[in-house]
Amino acid sequence: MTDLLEVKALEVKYRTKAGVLTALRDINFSMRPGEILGVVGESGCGKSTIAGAVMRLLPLNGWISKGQVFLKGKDLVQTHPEELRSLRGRELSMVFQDAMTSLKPVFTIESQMLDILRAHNPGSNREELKKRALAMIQRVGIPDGEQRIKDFPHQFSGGMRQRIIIAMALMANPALLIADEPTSALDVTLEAQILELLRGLRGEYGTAILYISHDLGVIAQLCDQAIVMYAGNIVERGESKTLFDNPRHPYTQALLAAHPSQKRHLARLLSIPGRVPSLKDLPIGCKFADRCNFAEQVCYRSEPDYLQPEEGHFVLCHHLVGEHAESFHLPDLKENNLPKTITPAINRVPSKLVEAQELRTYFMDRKNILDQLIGRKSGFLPAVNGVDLDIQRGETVGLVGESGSGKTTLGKTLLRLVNSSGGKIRFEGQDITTLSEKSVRPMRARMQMIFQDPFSSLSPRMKVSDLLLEPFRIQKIRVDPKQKVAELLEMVGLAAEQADKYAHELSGGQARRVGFARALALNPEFLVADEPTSGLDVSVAASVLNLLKDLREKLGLTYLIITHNLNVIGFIANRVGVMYLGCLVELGPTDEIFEHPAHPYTEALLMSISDPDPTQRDKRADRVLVKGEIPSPRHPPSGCPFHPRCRYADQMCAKEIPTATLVNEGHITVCFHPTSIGKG
Amino acid sequence: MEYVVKPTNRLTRFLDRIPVLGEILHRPLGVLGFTIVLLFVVVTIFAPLIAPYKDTKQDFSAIFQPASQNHLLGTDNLGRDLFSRIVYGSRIEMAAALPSVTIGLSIGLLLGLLAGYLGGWIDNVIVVLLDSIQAFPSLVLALAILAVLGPSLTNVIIVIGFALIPGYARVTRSQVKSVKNNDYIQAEYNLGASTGRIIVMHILPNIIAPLVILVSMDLPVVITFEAGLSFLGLGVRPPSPSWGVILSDGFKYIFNSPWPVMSAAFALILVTLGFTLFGETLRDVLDPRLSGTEGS
Repeated sequence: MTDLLEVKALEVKYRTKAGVLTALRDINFSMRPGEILGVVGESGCGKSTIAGAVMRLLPLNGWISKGQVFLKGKDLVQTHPEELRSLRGRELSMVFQDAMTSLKPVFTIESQMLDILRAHNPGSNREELKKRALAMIQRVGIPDGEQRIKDFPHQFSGGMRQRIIIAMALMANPALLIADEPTSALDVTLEAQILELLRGLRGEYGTAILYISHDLGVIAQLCDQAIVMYAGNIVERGESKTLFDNPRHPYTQALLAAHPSQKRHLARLLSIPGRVPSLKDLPIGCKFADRCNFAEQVCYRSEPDYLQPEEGHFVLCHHLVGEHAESFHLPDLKENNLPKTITPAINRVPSKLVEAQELRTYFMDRKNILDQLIGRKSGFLPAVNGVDLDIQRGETVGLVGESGSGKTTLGKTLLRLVNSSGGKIRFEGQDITTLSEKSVRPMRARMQMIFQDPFSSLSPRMKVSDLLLEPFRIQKIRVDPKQKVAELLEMVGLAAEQADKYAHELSGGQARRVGFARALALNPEFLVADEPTSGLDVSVAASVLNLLKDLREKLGLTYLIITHNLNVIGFIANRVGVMYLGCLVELGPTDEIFEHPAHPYTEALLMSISDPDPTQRDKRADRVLVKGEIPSPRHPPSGCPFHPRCRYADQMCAKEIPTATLVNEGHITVCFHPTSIGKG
Repeated sequence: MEYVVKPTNRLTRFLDRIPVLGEILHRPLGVLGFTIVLLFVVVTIFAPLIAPYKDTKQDFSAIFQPASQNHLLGTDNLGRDLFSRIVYGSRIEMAAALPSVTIGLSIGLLLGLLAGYLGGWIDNVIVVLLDSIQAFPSLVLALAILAVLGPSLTNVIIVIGFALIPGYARVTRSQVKSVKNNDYIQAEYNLGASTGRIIVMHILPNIIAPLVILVSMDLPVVITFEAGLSFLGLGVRPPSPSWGVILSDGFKYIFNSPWPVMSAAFALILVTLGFTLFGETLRDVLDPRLSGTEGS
């Protein structure tokens, strides 16, 4: 079979203030029709530049300086822009990460789709085209397609918008679809749905997909072939089965080792030291040498060539790592032969640190003056709706759920950052629910929060040193400023020079560490960490997780970790709470939740995880995907709130609200059918 | 931060050290604006040294003179040296502009902080109040107030200051509302910080930039407004050499000599242009979305 896309010795350059930078070097790959090729790597490695180069949609300061891109034998680099325009959409199509900005906000979905169809089918019947648009919308799984096609983009949720974008991209039946991180902003459940959709569409239309993602799991689940990018080079390329089973490049191996999936019993994740070199000053030899465990003299001196351990498997390295296996301390993925982490909760006398009883947080709608005058009742949004949760001293509780399930609000309510509307919060047995703000103030030192967005939680007008001294100034504690700042920076693994920087001069991982240091400054006992790894590259996320674990051991902290990433929870938490529409639907020890989930929502979340292990894909060919999306807490479904999306639901579920039942010691589920989970 | 070492003189190097100013002086329009503003300030401070004559000194032997070596901008109907009157007039403009902007800024800032930070019914009341002030065209409002209080520089200052309050209050309010929702305010609160500390240490520094810009762009507006009121005879009384007074006096004798009108108008245009350019450059420099990096 001939290749659909063939990229030969591609080189892309950018003109920037710092001079001309080479963003891609010597890129070679090819795709057969109907094949899915994954491109993976950390940020700044050139993944999106590949997409831009193939589409010939590079930013204005970028250009292809060398090489060819053949699509069906036609060199796109030499093609006239007018001709390219007619190819785009018909032969080549693209889906971007941000679905909202990719849709025109002032036109209905239908009119936007008709625009595309008319451009590619001049002179066709309007009714005919309308039918085709509708068929496509229904194919990508938009419920009530006939009505909804007349809606505007803002009336759809994020997942639906991404489906619409995919529908539009596939409308002219292109031979190649380029998808640039299309699911990065979505929940795991929706991500799994979209991946399923893409796979289905590929089977139906025979569209080849070039899929770009930073998530190894997604790539392993979806792709036939995979490319690993590092600093503008392809460092490894091959069949995704071979590549993930037997990675030969140290970078690929390190990325896999840093991924927190299936590492529930590991003490630490491997984190890659250093960071991706800036294109401004690339090292002379192998670009990865500085961070490589087996770099030798030759690696620093000369650039490696591609080695070919198997047919179709290319590795940009001086040595094949197999030869060095004994010197490489990779945690074994298959057998968990490392010692289990000690769970501090077991070693100490259990005492409740934080308790929530029937906790409720409602957000009232803002009333305008007119409504106030006529006494109209304001609506409310129940973000947290009756949660019972005890957290023992020294324990780590993970809180998972899709966006909009009320995880962050629960965390903030426990810390009295948001006022509760009902129920009780106790801290060390003391009821703090109704304490005045003044009396809570001294207690705040003992319970701290790490915010989701590291940059927005650091004041832009303060230096790191000032940020770290704020806690002491506020609580009026005298400290030696220099020594304290140095101490705190060291604790979170930052260099002392960082003290003089402003927040915007830090990288994402560094900013997060500063957030940790500030939260830990006053020696708190209870720490709420909101999405501690979101927005970080795999290797950085791994080091942040290690840090959290180390600090817990060293300082005896109690954590509530809020995340939508189950892998993170599995790695760090002793107990897991699963939230859905403001309620805790399941709570239990981590191992038990992962191995024997007793709530259909938990089961669905677990099934949606993308492991970087392609063999899992075939096992899960018929995996249970949760249907639809999380409804608005404003209008919760009747009975069990999860029943419309549940595959076990029966008539009772729609009528009555289930109560908490004990499945096992310390394992609670809120479901009528806990025993049938995992058996159907 | 690295600085590219350039062969510059000591003055430029010194100015470069001042963070914002250095940025401004890297833009051509900023240099122009800054020069004019600086010139204006120097002239107001050293007016007696710069002006060749006393502003009220009359010389009936030389009325309606065109520009000459003795009289740089000519003379008016009473033979007063126009250049000296413009120079002394700048002091009146400054004396009117600075206090009125200060009044507007301080009261507006206070109202805006209250409305933005506290929200709820206080916010509603303040917004209604601001709306009512803005519902009157400021010139009509000024005429009404001055008709009651009588024309004088102090009253002009009060009137203009009053008219400026809503602008500052609104900008402050919206800025506070957006800054307040940042996680760093919550983090601060979570560390046990008091409301006062949060406002002074964290909200104020983050909202001050747009206010500084507003001030620099309001100053010329105030100067023209004052000139307008004086032109109508409601502001500064003759013989004080307010630019508005010079304009209105000159207007009567425009057929005898165009120099009084021309020189006052030129001074007004120049100062307005200078402050506007300065303010716009300041906005570009201070707005992090436009410059990418700030501080340093």
